[in-house]
Amino acid sequence: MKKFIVIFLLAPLLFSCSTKVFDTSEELWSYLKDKDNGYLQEKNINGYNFSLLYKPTDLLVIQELEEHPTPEKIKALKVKYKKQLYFTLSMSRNEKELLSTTPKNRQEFGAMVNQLSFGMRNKVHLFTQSKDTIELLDYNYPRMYGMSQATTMLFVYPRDKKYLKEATLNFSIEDLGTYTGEVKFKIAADKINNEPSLKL
Amino acid sequence: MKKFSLPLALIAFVLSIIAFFNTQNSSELVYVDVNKLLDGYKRTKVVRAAFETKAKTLTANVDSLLAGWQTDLKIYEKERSKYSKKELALKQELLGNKQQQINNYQQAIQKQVQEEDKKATQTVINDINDFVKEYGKKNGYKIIFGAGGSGNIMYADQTSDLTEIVLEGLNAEFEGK
Repeated sequence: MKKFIVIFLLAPLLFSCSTKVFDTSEELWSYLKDKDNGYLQEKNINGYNFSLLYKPTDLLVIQELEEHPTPEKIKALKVKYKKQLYFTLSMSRNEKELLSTTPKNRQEFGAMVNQLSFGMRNKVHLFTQSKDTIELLDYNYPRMYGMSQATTMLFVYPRDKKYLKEATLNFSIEDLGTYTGEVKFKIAADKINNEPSLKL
Repeated sequence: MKKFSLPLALIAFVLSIIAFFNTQNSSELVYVDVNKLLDGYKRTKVVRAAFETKAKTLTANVDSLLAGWQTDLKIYEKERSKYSKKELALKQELLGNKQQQINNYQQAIQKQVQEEDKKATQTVINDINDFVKEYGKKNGYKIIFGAGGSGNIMYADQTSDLTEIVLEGLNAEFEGK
């Protein structure tokens, strides 16, 4: 009888902590894009759309895999990417890139290109609940010359277990001339600790 | 069967208590006083202080330019009797141009100060919006009204006011507690 009660009470806890495993990257993508799962967050402030997506390790691994990968190659790539946290930040207005909608003149356009290409290190911050800042390792901003529906960037941070013990991480973006003030996203650390994976 | 009845009754009792509190929270009509939140939020003071320092630096440049122009004007008035007609016209044109440039600069600075103010205010509003949203979700409220003194909430019982609780949580989060 006692066993029955223990199982009844512990079963939901066990299931809630388990990580999801997907067969294909398409399935993983659709899971990530469902906002209820906590990996994608979106905000609209003064007409600007901001979205932040946490990219699990396996998504980066599969990008680099060849057609018939060996288990050693998969393992090596997992080790390589597991050391970092990857976030994709998208910003847009009326489904257009920031550079197509925000600058009002040539001078502002130049300043924004410079800001997006080289100055985001000072504008985007990842910090813990207790205000410890996690240093940005690198970021990548591919210029799309108006061909994309949003300005999208990849931010890379070290995966430090010390910081992932806290309940949440905060990802903040200072105002980039959009008059949206500082925009902040809260990422639950357990979502990162129990990130979904792929059957590789 | 008797063995199961007690634990099952206990589980049912716990579930009914949880359900009772959940439905009670979600059906409550509550509000926060947005002005009080803006005033009481500690980040507002920090952001405002940073903005005022920035604004002071910007306006100080205008003041020193204006002081320089006024000195030039005084020199011109003092020495105008020494100048020929042609020199007078040239000096007047130079002073006029300088004044125009200072006016343009002053306008640009005023615009920049307004923009900085807008950014600072929006930052604080974003924080409050995020926190109230999260608080509402966490505590199962279906709706949280924002009273701002403009007549959108004419009367509300004191028990419906969440301002103090929200403010406490907001400040605790800002201080990293």
